[in-house]
Amino acid sequence: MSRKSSSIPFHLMMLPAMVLLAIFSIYPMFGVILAFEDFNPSKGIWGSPFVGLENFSYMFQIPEIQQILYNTVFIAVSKIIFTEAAALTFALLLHELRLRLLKRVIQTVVYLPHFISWVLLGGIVANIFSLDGIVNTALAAFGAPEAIMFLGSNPWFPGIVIGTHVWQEFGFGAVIYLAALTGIDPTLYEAAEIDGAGRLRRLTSVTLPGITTTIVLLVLLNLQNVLNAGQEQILNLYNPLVYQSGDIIDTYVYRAGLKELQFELATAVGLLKSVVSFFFITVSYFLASKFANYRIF
Amino acid sequence: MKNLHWGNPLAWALAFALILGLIGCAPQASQDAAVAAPKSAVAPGGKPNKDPFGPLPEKTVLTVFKTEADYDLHLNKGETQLDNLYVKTFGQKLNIDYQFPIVMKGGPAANDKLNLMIASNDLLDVNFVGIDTFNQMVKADMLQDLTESYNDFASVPVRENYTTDNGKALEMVTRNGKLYGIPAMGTVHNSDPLLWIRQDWLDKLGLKGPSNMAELEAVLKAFVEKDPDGNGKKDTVGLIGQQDFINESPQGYAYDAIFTAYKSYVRNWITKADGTVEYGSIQPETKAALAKLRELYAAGLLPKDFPITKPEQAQEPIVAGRAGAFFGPWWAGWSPLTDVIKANPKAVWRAYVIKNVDGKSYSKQEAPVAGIAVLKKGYKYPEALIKSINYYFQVQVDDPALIGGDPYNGKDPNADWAAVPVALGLWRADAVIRDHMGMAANAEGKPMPFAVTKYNEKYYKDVAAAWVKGEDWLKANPDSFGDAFSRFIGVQPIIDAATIPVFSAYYGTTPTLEKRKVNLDKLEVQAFLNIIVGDKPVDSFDEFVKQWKEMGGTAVTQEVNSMLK
Amino acid sequence: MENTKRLPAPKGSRSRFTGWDVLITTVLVLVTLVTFFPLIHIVAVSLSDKSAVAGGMVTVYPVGFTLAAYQAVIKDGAFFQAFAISVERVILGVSVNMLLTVVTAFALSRRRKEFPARMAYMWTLVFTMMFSGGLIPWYLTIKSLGLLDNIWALVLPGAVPVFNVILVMNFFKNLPPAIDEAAHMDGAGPWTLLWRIYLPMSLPALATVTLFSVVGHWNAFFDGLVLMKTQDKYPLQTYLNQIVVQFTMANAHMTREEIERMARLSDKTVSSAKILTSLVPILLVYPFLQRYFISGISLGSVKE
Repeated sequence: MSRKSSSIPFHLMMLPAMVLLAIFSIYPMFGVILAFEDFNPSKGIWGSPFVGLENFSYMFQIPEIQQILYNTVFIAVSKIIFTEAAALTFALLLHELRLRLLKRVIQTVVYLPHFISWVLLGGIVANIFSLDGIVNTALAAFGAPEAIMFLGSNPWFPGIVIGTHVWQEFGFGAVIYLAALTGIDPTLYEAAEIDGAGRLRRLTSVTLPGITTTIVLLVLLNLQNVLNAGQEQILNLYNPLVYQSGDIIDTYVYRAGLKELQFELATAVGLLKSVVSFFFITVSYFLASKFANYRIF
Repeated sequence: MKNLHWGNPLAWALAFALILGLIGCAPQASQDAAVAAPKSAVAPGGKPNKDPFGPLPEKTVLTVFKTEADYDLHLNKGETQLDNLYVKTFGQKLNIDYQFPIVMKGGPAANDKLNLMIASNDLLDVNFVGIDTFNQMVKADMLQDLTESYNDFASVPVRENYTTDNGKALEMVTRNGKLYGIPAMGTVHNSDPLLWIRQDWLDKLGLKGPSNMAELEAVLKAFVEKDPDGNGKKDTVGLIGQQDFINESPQGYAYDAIFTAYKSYVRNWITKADGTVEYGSIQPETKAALAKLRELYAAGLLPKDFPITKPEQAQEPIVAGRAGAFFGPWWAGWSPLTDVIKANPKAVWRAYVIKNVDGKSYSKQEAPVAGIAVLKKGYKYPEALIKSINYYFQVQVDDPALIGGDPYNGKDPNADWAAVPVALGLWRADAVIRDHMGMAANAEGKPMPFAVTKYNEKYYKDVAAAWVKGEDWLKANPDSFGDAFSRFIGVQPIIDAATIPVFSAYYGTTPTLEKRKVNLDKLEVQAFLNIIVGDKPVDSFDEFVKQWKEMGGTAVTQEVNSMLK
Repeated sequence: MENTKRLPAPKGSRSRFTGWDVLITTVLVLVTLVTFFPLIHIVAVSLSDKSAVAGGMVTVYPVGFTLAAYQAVIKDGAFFQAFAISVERVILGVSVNMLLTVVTAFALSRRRKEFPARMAYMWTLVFTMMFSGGLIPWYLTIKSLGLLDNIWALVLPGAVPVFNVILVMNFFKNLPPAIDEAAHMDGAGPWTLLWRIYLPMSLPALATVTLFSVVGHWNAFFDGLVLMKTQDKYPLQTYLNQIVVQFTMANAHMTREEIERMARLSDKTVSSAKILTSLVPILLVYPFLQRYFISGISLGSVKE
């Protein structure tokens, strides 16, 4: 076979995925026209009257829209940063752990909270941070004058949302870094050791460079969640005292009942979120490829 | 499933009873106005002019969205909720082939599914919806007009049943003079907030049961300060509360009753002396109630963390024996008290009514419509729905002899009503009080004060029999506790206090309300909380009223008034 | 991982347990304990008396120890039926996912010279990951294909896990180019290259995306809810989603049946037991996949 072999086998390889995506993702995508309609179920997607951008203007007329957008982006971005940082740190530490059995046990345990829904976790978190909960008891032992109502406090609430999200997800997030760590060529470590590199040096000169692509890749892919601050979690944790710091797009949409019966508004919100995330991903893709020469796609 | 953006889980949470409507362009607004104007198409009472129990002209399939009952239906061996004597007999007599392509447990998941089917215009023939969904379906022209079928076929007992709420429920499902659904009525006094209190603590402290706010405050103070459980620790919580402390219809562990005690009907529309309608939360009476709540909170008589307590966590201190007072409905005997007596059989609970500043008892009520059975537009024989309900009502509620007897005749206990093909909770609007009277008569060996159906006759007898065995026996038999305790201890105070039910002057939505309800509610609850927890002075209430009006409240009030005209 | 094991670790310092190791071990154990708390709590709840749970008296150990909740789980036929459907779904779904992932990722990992159309494909994939037409058209599409009530409705719509494809593609891209050269010399076609060489060299990446795929299918509940008509076709999470709901006094219009149901269903003990039981397969599958991304690391592993 010559070097200039045809690309037909590759097209063939793409075919099954493309057919399935065409049927289940691309074809239904025409449904976004719902976002520009006054949707009437009995008339259907094609028969409902067009209203232009009215559904979008609704969103921008919400009195607290700035606060809600700020909360959403702040919580979502913090979650991405801190979860990835915690997952990475954890993976690096675990990578260094020598007791193999312990390593496996620890890794299994930390990834389990990923599987527990916020209906259950919400109650647990509420107990931990309650007035007579573990945190306040510990603070009192260190001489804190008064118990803090964490979940009712605007300065604390976003931190708790972010923190408990990290707590739930870092173990699962670490899986991918652990896999990447196994891919590092062991001879590099040998060489570093021969050069007399200590543990820290090996970390900075071998381990981290070895998984930088993975880190960039994950952060970039996570940008699709830049407007997803975690509806289920916040619904289970928030209350009117912390609307100011905790109300996000999804919880607002939920309280307004949009997802229940106002499908055109829900579609408009979804479309807007997709556009924003797509924009972020595309821009960062080109930035990464231009300045760092990482091409993740 | 990372690539599916729609997959946000809604299903676990309870739906908040509000909707935002289509974005208001002018033609829609006028349409809304027409839709919401209540006018009864069918009169409650009266007689059918065709055979309410006769067969359809031809065998016809009727598909029903079924809610699975996960308790014992008392059926015959081998029968199921979908395949039993009721389904067979009704089908034969009415010439209907009942089919159940979709079966779900109730709750939010079923709601999600139904909403998607509505949006996709992929409906079964018979669905059960709430009033908000109902409104949407009417607007989208998806429902069959039932006016004629009801007038022709609704049986006398079914019609009579609808007189018990003076036709309110039928009125609420009537649009433009047409009946679009068969409603289950709200039950009067079903959610009246009673003060449930630890009687043994009262006795120990030498206090009598409170009947007004001043007495309640004194009791709470004693509970919090005098260590009623005698454990030597000052750990007793005052009046249990939760984050949804104001509601349209009263909820458990909420503070609706305290507002009512100051003649404030928060989150309801009230009729003023001049006949105009205004929003209850912005009235001066509300300010007085807030001032009192602020006082109670500052004095430590309300739990410090009530604003962050989820409704489902509110019961914890009660069951754990650290709280002796909460507002709950008559049926609190089932929940939370069944758990309470299991954890602490020595606790003695009683219910009291807190009267208002004039010494009278009023209570906000649940909306006059609960579930609504609706039929898909274009169904060939709309009377199939009416007849199915006639038949069920006869077999389960009224006298089965009229239609040739209950197919389960002689079976004890009778098969459950959830086994019928089209199950709708059609009890009388006054069932709470009436059931209590029936049971009380039974317990005292007196004759029934009113005619009673076969089903109720037995039910009353059973509950009364459990009740007369005494509280100790009930506590030892928690499965019987809830019913008997609630029916007697929970309902009697409502009768004694002659509580007057108060309905909102307007249920439903308006164009501005559809857009702004979330914001108005948020503004309201935050303003109230700021006052109660002491972040802002009581006078900030006036600022709230001003903001509320500016944010759309004035427009909403005008719309409500014009719709009621 | 194979090649790393064969390398003998140099003798000396690495077999000694240093201060570093003590520190790392301590930190990790502490972190693990904090993460373990919710699980312990749920276990404790599942083994406690219902009333103690309703009173919020259970934290890390059972109060009023009882196995009643597990007895209720065992008696629940619907639970195990849903369990079996979930297992079937995972087997079908993961097989389809993995097959499509490796084939698609391989094609996309080719350089532009070899496969000029790759960027067009790539952006199509990314686009479908970011955008969706929403719930209604998606549902109508699946319905019009006659897939409602069919297990394939839970498999095919998510058959191409784009996130996983991108991960594996990046892994493939980082494999030494010398492999390709060698394969060409041997006259191996792309399919042979993929099956014989790329796949065996990518076990950690494949184990990772297999795990993601298993977890994705095991955890999904919403598609089961809307695409399956009756409950006997529900996968486990859809079933659990229906029962793990908070029932509170917050409902107006409670009927007697609903009140009684609430008094029973507020039973957190049984739902906790069901959730824990639903974790069992995850715990069983995990060690098989885990060995590919956790052991065999030369640095720090104890000498064999």
